[in-house]
Amino acid sequence: MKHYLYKLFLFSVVIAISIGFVFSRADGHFDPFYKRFTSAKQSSLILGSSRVAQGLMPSVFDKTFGNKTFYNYGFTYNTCPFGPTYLKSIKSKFDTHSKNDMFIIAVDPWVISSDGINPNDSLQFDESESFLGKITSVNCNPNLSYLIKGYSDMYVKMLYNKSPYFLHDDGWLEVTVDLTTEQHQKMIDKTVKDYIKKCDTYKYSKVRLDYLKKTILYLKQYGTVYLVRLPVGTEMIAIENQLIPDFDAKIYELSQATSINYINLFKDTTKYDYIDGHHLTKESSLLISKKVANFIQNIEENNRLQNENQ
Amino acid sequence: MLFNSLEFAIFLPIVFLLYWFVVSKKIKYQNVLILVSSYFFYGWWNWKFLFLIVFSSLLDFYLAKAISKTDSNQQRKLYLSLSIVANIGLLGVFKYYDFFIESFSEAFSFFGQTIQPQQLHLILPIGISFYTFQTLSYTIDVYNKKLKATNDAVAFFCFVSFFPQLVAGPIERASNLLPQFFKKRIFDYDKAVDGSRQMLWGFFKKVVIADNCAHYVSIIFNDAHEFSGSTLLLGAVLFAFQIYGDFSGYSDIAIGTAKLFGFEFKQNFAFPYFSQNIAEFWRRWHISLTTWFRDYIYIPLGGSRVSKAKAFRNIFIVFMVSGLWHGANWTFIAWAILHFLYYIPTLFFKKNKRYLNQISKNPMLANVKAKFNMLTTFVIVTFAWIFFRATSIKDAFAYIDGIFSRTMFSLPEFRSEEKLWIILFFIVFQMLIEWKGRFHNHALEHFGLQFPKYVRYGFYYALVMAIFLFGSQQEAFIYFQF
Repeated sequence: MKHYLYKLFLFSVVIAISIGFVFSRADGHFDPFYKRFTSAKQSSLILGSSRVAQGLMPSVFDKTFGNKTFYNYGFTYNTCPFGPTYLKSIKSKFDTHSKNDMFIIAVDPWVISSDGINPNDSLQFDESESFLGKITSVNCNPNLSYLIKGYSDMYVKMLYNKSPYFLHDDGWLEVTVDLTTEQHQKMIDKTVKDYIKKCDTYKYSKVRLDYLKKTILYLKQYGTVYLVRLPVGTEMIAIENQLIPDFDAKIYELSQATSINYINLFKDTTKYDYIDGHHLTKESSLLISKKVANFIQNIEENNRLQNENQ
Repeated sequence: MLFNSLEFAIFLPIVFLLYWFVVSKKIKYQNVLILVSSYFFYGWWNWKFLFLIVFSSLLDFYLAKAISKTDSNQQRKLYLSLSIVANIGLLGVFKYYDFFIESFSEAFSFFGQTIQPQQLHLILPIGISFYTFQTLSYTIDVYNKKLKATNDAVAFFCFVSFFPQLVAGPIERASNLLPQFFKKRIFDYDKAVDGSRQMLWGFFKKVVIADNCAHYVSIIFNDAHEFSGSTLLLGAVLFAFQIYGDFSGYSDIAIGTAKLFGFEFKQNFAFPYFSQNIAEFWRRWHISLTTWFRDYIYIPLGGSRVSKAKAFRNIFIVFMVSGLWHGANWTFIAWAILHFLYYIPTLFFKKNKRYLNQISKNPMLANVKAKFNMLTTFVIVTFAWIFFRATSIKDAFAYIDGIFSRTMFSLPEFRSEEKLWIILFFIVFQMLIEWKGRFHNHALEHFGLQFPKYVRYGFYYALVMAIFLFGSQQEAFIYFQF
């Protein structure tokens, strides 16, 4: 028995060291989410789906609002639609000791929709089974909880840097793709096809909209909240309008009810370039980040002047 | 609790250490620990269904005792009938009620009548088909006087719920497993090492082969109409390896785990994809279930020692029951009918007993005829798997229709994905290792024993790292649903 345990122990130690070595290679290249769970608690947050994860660069906002440090905590529309899972995760990531923060929440029809028979049954929200629902901690380095429970691809990817994306320390997901015109069109066609299919099963969820409101109200306790709708490629406009035809009216109503600003850039479609029809290219991300930052700066400036006049 | 989970990685060492260091002095203590651990293992999924296992165990424990106590044939029959009705009844309610009621309703609508029967929508208790058959075999064996009824309730409850094989088999016979709970277990180094090797190979098949195949199989089967014929063909082949890796992997882990505790289970998979005809395939695939059907259904019906027509009928009944056992869906019935059709020629030409206990005696390569036989058997088995995997008969036919389209000879989609090539590489690797170990109880039983220790340990290290590096996301075992 002792002989068996001794051998097993030695073997396990070698395996543990090897696994530790592989895990130590986890960086911004190996996975588009991991590093968001290894950073400390954050103050000013940029929230939303993958469009915002790639589209809004915290560094641009840092420059514009010198006294604030922004952090991009956006994921994908199927892991972080507004609901109990994302709200819980935001609360875990947010540093409640900070004050006068700023929060930018990007919205689109997908993040307030659900698939399944009843889009308002929060017990059936799929994201609770995603990494965001599974992991127990979002602020530790290394984050074994994510590496073991959350990561779903092969670990061998940690050993080579071949991915087209890089997750920056501030949470911005940089995607570098070099596509020919034909490949680019193929990618757009595929995305459009996928989303048309999704449109058949996804439905507007009142419960998700309520959770968006809860998220806003929670964050409002700690600073100013802005709602933003980013533009998408022309091919995607019709699909989103079909999913929730009165989306803008709903969000506008919500912004009124919660007394926050809604910056709608949805119609700026042609001013930007997209990788696959709805994710902005690096260059366009920079442009739109500046635009959103300027918008907010203007609003803040107007508010300040108004307050001074009063 | 899944074998391929962090929870099991913590659970197993704790139970193992308690078993050999804390309660090793008395068999009874060891059995109590096994029982508690087994219920904990099962309850981790849903503790409410523990009551079903306890009920089944209690029922058969007392009915078997009642059978052995009386000499009255009428009473013995009554007790046996009670056991069969109760066990099959539970299985029927939880597994088949909705299926039969829905089929009944569809049959009515076919004749222009509409009825809307109440469905139960019950959750299927994991492993119910396995432990029901296991406990049922005990009562039948006691009735047939092949076995004496035990008075040791703890040992019997352990036999029904022993955690390595509780949820997905192998379906152990009381005559093999129950006596092991009465014997003193002494730690056997060689057995533990062999068990560890078998577990390692099981994990490799499950995590590297089955779970990775599952990724493509799901994509292809879920949207079959969108893919070319060659891709659909690829999907079917990948499913053949997925289900084999998944189920035989589970069996290897279960048998290996049992060895760590000093128990011996019967072999459940004997390299079925090296079979040279369908009869041989069924002697090598899910052996514990096949032999269960043989002993408790086929032979009582007369087996093959009856007229040819009756022999065909007996085989047909066994395949139908096997199809239904796998699930409450017409696709499983279609799968079973296909296998019955495959079986007919072997029975008709009396070739069903060919290739007993042999897979190409040539140590390295099989001869051309053997290779051809293996390939054709694999092809027809894979074809039948399409029905097994499809969600409906209509989908299965659409899938087959898609395969035999003009795009059958095009290059399959996903060919540029390195993940697919990794899977294909590991499938070839798996088949080579299994071919090498085909004369043994499991692929690694004697694998590489002739090499120096450092080479063997290097190989085990490579396997563990392959499981870690190339393993896919945690997937439940397919056979849990049965």
